Amino acid sequence: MESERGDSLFGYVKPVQGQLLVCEYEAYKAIYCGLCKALGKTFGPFSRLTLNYDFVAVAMLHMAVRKPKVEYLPFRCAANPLKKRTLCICPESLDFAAACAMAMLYSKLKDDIRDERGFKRIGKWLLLPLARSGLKKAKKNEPRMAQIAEEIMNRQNKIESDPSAGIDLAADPSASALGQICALMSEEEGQQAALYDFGYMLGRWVYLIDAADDYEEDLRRKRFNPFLYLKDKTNAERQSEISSILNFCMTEAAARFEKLGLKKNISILQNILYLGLAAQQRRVLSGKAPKAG
Amino acid sequence: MNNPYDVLGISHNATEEQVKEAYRKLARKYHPDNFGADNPLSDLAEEKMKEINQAYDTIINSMRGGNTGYFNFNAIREMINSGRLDEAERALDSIPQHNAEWNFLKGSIYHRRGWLEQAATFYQTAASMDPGNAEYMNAVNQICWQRGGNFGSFNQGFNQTPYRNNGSTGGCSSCDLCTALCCADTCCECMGGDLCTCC
Repeated sequence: MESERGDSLFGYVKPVQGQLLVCEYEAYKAIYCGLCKALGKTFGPFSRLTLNYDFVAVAMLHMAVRKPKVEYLPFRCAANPLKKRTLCICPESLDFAAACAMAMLYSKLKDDIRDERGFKRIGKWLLLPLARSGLKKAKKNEPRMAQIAEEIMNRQNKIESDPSAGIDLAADPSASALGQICALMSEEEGQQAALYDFGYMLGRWVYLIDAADDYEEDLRRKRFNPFLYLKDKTNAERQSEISSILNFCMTEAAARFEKLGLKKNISILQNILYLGLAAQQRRVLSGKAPKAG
Repeated sequence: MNNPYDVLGISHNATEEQVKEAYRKLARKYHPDNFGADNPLSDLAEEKMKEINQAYDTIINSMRGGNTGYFNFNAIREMINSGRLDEAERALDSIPQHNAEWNFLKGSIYHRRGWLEQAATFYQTAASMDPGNAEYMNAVNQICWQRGGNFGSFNQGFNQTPYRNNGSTGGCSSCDLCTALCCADTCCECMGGDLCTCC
């Protein structure tokens, strides 16, 4: 696992590593490796390149909800055979997260291809067949998941064609998709509703921070962005408004998380929610230092 | 029940005259006399007519201050608390007067759904319409608290997180004492002295 990459490609939902206990850090890394293995096993070696921290968090939440048997084994990774690593074995949760990652990858790529131009677009085109076969396999293993991913794509396109869509509406497809995915984790009705509520808020946060991260580029290329209504404000005003909106969402997600009453993996998940999200917000918002004017 | 204002196709601030006018127009259109007994649309028209009558009664009663039971805020609160958000929203949308409580309940529905920005707007409207109400004020304060990036509840007054907050704040256990003593002894011995003569 690489340390802090200032790149959204690898996900926003991750812990602040310096604040993890060593055992928690080891467990987190092992789950990361386990997810990579699970992706490779079901979706082929190339799918491993799309590994993303967000789905490590999904796997950990799934473990906390389902409490499956988890094993840790020493192994050597093909990418760096000299280093001994620990591998987490927990097919139930890791396969769930892998299917989730592939289903989401397809909808994300489709979205990117619509937005990007030039080389990046060609790159994404090359990935598309991989994503398509991934979606097909995900459909077989987790039919509901693929359905959720397709739904979000259709709704997002429709909403983004209207530049005046408010923040709540724009974030709704992504938010409700993660909500539905989280609800799949439990069989019990009350817990499903609580998981949906939490997933909704986390999905909303991910959508909004991604939008905040892309703001400048979207503005330049005249693409849809939910924060464009702030474009006439000064940089400082805009940043403080975006930061307030993200804060509200993040604290609400944490409050809804506590209602789930989970025990397993709790300190890593709490690290992610109470420290990790805030750290990502600081990174995204400070990355664009206020310019004159 | 559908929103009576939508049924009649009028806006929420329509006058009594406009309500009556809209009702008359629709009643003429859907009146059973316009459809013969063997017309396949007659059932549909009858259904529609019933709905129109109901909507008209609801609106007129509420305008004259009569309580139809349909516009009961407590019942709507109950719905929101038990998570029946769509039902609560329909009931709320059918209420003609948008007073402070209406705005507060609307905000609560959006809040539960996760539409936080909308929720904030409605809570603020509620609080500005009735500044003395502690419940509305509390909701607004809580939002300010969270927008500032604070976890937990505004009323507790500090940014409390359950993360690694299991009661042991600092302090020194018996284990720590022994370890410290061992360390001190070792250091002393390095320099030629001796703190604990026994080891």
